[in-house]
Amino acid sequence: MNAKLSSPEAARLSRRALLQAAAAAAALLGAAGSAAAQIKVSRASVAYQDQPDGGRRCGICAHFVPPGACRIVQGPISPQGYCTLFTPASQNG
Amino acid sequence: MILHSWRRAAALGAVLLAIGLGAGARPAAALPLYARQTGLVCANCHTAFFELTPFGRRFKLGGYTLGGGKSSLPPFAVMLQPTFTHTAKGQPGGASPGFGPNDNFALQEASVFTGGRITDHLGAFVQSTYDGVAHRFGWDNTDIRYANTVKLGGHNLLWGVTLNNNPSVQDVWNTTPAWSFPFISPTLSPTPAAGTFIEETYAQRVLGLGAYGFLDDSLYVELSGYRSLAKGTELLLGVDTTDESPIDGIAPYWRVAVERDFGKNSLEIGTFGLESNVRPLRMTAAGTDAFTDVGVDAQYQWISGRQAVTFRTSWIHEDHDLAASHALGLADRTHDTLRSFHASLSYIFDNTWSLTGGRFSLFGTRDATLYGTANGKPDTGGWIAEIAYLPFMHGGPKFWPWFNARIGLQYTRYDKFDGAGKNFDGAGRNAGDNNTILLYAWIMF
Repeated sequence: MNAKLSSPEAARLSRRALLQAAAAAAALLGAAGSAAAQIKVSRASVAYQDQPDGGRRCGICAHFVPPGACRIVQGPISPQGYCTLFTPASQNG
Repeated sequence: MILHSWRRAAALGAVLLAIGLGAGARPAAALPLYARQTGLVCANCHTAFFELTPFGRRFKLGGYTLGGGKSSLPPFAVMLQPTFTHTAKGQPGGASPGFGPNDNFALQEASVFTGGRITDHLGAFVQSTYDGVAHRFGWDNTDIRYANTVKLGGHNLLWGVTLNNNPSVQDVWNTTPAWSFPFISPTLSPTPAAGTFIEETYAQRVLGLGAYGFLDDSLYVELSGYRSLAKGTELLLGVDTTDESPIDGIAPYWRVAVERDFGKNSLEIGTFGLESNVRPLRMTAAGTDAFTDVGVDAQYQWISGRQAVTFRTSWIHEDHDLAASHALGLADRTHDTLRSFHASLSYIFDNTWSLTGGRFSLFGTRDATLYGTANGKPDTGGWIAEIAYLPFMHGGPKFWPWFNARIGLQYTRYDKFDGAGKNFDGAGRNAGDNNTILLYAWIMF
């Protein structure tokens, strides 16, 4: 074992480092807790299109936020649009 | 010694923090607990679990935080993997302690998961597993992350910090070691003697902290550092410490990838790697060995209505500087190389039927002392074919809509094993004798 690393001074530094890490973690958690909106995904990642897919369209989807947004996908979203996350409003679990 | 105690305390603290964060997560939300959290079905995040869709990748990059589900159940899920394993020729003495030479039934793994969304920007994937072959319970893949978005000029940056215990477990493409095909492997069939360090050698034996950015929904860059756990901490966490060679100091891990999504297509090309100084078998008298793993990978997905096709490939080149092992009599040479290749192609219908064929190949320089093979070569190669049925990807039975299952039949055919196709062990066993049929049920609820 490296003698320098096992010295009491190193142990004190280690405790200080741990306290600093704990403080940083607390700050991170605080920042996380105070943050607001959830992260939305891109339209390309869910193959969004401005046209409906048969009878399936954003306007009747559980994730649609009237008049033109989605709680999951970055906007703007057309009520006549469609993407791979389509979930009928009645089925959202 | 005092410092060692602190190291143990720090590692234990991190794990307790992980478990505590998971237990305290808000009940909200294709782990079944993620399905409940988001209100989405498994098929939204997975073509056939656990391969991720483009949306599934962003759910993970976003820190597992996406909400929207109405369930108020606590954030826990259970996984069971009962298996039947048959090898072309039995393994004298038993496939594993307590098992027969051939045709073994086992509860290969039973896991409990927790995690999911903790705050709008903090989330986790925390798994603990009972290994039904080794009869050992311990911590398993763990990834706790903070993620957020920021505007940089006209560019969108999704950025985050990950704390995890397995290099590449934080990755979102199914080409890097932790999440690549085959998604399940038999633990009661013979295992090759050699493998690159980045391919699961350090899984659960390290703690890593990293930062990542995903620019304009396309360019992913990550830098992480991994440190080995103290042996006492590993034993406390249920990790098998037999013959392990821990990292000396911090091992940097990097990942750069570009993904382009256009219409029904998603194409990714990337590189990843790990640079680790290693104390061979925990011995320090001769210094350390150095291992450099550099990988390149690519993945193409085509997802159209009820059909999907995925092609994945990776190539890893590992350089060994074995000065310490050579001095200790653990290697014949001071410099070796290993190369690992994987490629697989899947066709998935309605997220319900999955057909996959794959090729794997490992080869490198001859070193009989290091690998312990009869002819000194580490080479192993073969093919894998798998058919799987996933009846609940669009929702489980009414009494538990988050139930999911993957029932599969997998065949592995070796054309080389531990250095040779014929008589690889010097006792007359051929590579083909290790050909394996695995019948499994992978149940999640």
